[in-house]
Amino acid sequence: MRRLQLLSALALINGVRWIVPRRLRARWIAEWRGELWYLWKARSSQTAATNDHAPSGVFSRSLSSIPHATALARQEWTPDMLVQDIWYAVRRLSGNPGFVLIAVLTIAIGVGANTAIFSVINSTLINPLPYPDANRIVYLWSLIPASDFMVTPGGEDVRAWREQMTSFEEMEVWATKHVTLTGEGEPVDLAAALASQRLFAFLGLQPSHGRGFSVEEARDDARVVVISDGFWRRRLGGIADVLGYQLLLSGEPHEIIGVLPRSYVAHAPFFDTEIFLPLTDDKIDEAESPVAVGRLKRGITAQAANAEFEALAAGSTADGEPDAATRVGHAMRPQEMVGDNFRTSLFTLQAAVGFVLLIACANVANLLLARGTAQQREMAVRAAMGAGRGRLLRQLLAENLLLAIAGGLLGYGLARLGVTVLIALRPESMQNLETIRVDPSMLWFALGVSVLTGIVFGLLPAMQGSRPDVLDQLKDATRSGTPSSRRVSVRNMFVVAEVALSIVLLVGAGLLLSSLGRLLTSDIGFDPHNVLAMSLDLPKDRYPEAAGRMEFRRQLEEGVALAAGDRIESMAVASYPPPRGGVWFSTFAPEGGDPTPSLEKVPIFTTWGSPGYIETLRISLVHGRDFVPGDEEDESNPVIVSAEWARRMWGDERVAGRRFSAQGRGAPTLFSVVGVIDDPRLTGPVERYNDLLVLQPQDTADAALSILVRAEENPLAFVETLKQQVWAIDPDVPIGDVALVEDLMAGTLAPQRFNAILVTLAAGVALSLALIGLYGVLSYSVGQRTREIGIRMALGAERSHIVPMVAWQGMRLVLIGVFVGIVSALALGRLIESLLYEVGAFDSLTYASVVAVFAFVSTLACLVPATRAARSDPMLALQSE
Amino acid sequence: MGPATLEVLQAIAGGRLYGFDIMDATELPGGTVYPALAALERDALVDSDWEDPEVARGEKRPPRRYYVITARGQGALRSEIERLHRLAGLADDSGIDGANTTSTPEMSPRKA
Repeated sequence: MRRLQLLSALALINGVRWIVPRRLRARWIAEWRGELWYLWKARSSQTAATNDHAPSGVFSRSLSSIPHATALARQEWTPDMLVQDIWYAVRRLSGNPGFVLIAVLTIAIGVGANTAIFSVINSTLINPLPYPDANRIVYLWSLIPASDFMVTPGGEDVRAWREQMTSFEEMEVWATKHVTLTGEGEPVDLAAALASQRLFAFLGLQPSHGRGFSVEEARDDARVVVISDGFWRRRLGGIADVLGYQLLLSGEPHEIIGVLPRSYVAHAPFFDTEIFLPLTDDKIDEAESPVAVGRLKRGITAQAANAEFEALAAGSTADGEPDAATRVGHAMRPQEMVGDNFRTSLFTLQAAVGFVLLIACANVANLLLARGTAQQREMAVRAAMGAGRGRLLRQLLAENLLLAIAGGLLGYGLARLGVTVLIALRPESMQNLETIRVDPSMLWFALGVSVLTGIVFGLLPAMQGSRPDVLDQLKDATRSGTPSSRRVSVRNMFVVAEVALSIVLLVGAGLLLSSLGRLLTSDIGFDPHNVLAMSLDLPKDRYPEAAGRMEFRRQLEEGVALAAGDRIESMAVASYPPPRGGVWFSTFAPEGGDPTPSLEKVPIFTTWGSPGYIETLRISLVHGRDFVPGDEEDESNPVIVSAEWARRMWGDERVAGRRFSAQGRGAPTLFSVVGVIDDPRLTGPVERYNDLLVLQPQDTADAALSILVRAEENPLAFVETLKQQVWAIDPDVPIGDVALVEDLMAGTLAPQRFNAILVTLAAGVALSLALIGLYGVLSYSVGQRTREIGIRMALGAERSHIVPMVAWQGMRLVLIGVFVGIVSALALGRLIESLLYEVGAFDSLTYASVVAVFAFVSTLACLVPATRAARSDPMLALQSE
Repeated sequence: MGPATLEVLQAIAGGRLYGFDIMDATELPGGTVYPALAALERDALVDSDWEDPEVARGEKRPPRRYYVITARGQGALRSEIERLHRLAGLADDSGIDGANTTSTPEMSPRKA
């Protein structure tokens, strides 16, 4: 114990000594050791006299050695020397353009991929909102008690929160509203947003032209609009007198009073919004899916706000306990709105590109080591002329850092390009990718990663290169440099690491592709092929009554049937084509019975279809019948349920004719089951609703319509026919989206496809880099062994012996790398299990395939240099140096 | 010459001192004292050497390094002190309150 202080102090000196310039180091160590020993002895005598336990202050005194060493080091490295080192590095690198190109490009690929994916993470998870004080902005939801489901809040909720909640500085609301733009070419259905009066100020959006809504305009529901810069330029041709221009929206003239700035980025949930109308408080209830946002007061967390929400909800019920009708407010930070699966995908991608970067760095490190071997003589001459090791090390590090920074800058450029391509190719359903931006802070990320890379992976080659064997190198004037066995081991170790990392990535890609394959071929319980879906939105101003909309639908069905004749197999009208629909939360109970617990507080998927819906989508009917004309007006509320829903309610599928009640926030409603269908997955193969589905008659109270037409031959040929039939009835009805249902269903797998493609791309790059690294190391080794191979062949070795001998040198590394890679993949597989569908993380077929593919390509990579070695002329080989 | 360097030089002026003793005498940290010593040595204002190895061996420890002021260092120290005196005199003449003036540093050599 007495000596611990001294030993610790001496250990510190030993560690710090490397900072001290070499010429001063010996004296510095001796001086500090002398002082510390003396102090320790002096203090030991004192404590012995006073019977204290241990002499104090020795270690604390030794801490002063750090600033001392640093001060000495700073004296050695003046700004002049830094400039010299950089200039020298530039001169040395310019003599080797091929090496520089390969090294910079390799680093750029690794850094670029990492910067691109980190930009995605930054834009979606870290800084998702490009608005002022964004860290205090939260989305406000209504939480279904005792479930994880949240719905958009109703108008009465928002009004109550505004009045009673103290956690928020302000709350603003917007809601989607579909309007029909006419008078500017073809009638167009536009997704507009109803915005509360202070919404623009809340988001820090100052119109570039004109202004936002006034209090009076919001209160009086004035006919004014604010448009986006994109709308102004694309639809109005960027006209100069845009303010005051009248737009005909849903038959009513609206005056343009403002244009949002170009910097306005369509952000969730504004994605397609180009037109904003004023939202009055009383319109919130009628509005479609209102979204509320709040800005928390300074110092208030989202958790504190949620606690206040819960207290408010508890106070609203008689017994303080929330029931099925209670909605509890919930503040959610934008980062939390990213689904767990998307979050896992992002982190998986970041890990994948991280592996690519490590492999790229290992390749560059190997290149540097090889280059260092070739330049040993030059280093020896410089050392003999007086260059200290520190100076040589600094100069080599300067070279590596220059390469790394060049690679980082190029990588940043590649990242910007990559993100642009990513956004352009993003699936329609992944709208959150639209907000990705590579902002200037990502340049610092790219440079930071590349500098770290340069230091970590350049340090070892630099340390080896700065310690040349001066005597040996100078003795033999013809010697070009032979790698030490330690240097060869390091290079082999890098190759093994690259192989292992590639294997992990390939296994990950294989599992994701396998999972995607299962998803694409899974049985979704209906046939989406050859079905065309065309969406319409009947303007409410011209079709205010259900009867009018019903008449339109009837005329449309008649017109299409007449025009298309036998060319279509079947048709139906729905509120939405699959996979869209609604979510139904209620307390369900059989007529006269108790509520069914397994159907309570779980989301039920619901959609609306006319007679022919089941036939058009080829859904199997298990019991009962399809809808018939008149069901939509039948007061017994006929519905068709899925077999799973029926089993949960009654323990049986054959339940046509039975009745049940559903109670939401109002009085219970009775429904009659007229049919049971065989659990179609209308939302797609990735299970979200546990096959719980209730199909209701197409509700003419809803102005949204989709025509579904099944035709075995080219359904898209009917698009014009359908349009003509719509406009024959009413030329001002806008046509919305037109798509094949199979494409819409394929869109539900867009995230999985996207993920699998990106990870496969990363795995492909990793595999290529690893093979290049393997080939490079083996080629270099063959080059070094040319003389040895020549001797062997001169002594009678057949070429057929040389090939396996050389190839085995590479395959040995591959085998070790594959083993390490497989073990690592088994350990890490669990992390991506949530992304897999019907494929386990330890799928043996995937592992076997990966090993087989890697073994095949790596054998080729090894055979090329081996074959080249076997073809060399023994005489020339013997003469080589 | 900075104040810390001056203080270190003045501490050594009293006689030869070892590094840690200078730290104790000036109450300055090692990160200040040792760079000051390096600068003084570089400018030939102080000299340094190892103590008698027999002494160290007898006490079963490595030898220490001591510092002594050179003649040139003495001259530099005198010049600095004179300069500070002049500065203090100027401050008096300008009527600055005596309580706010920097008093001349203690000139007596500190015991090693």
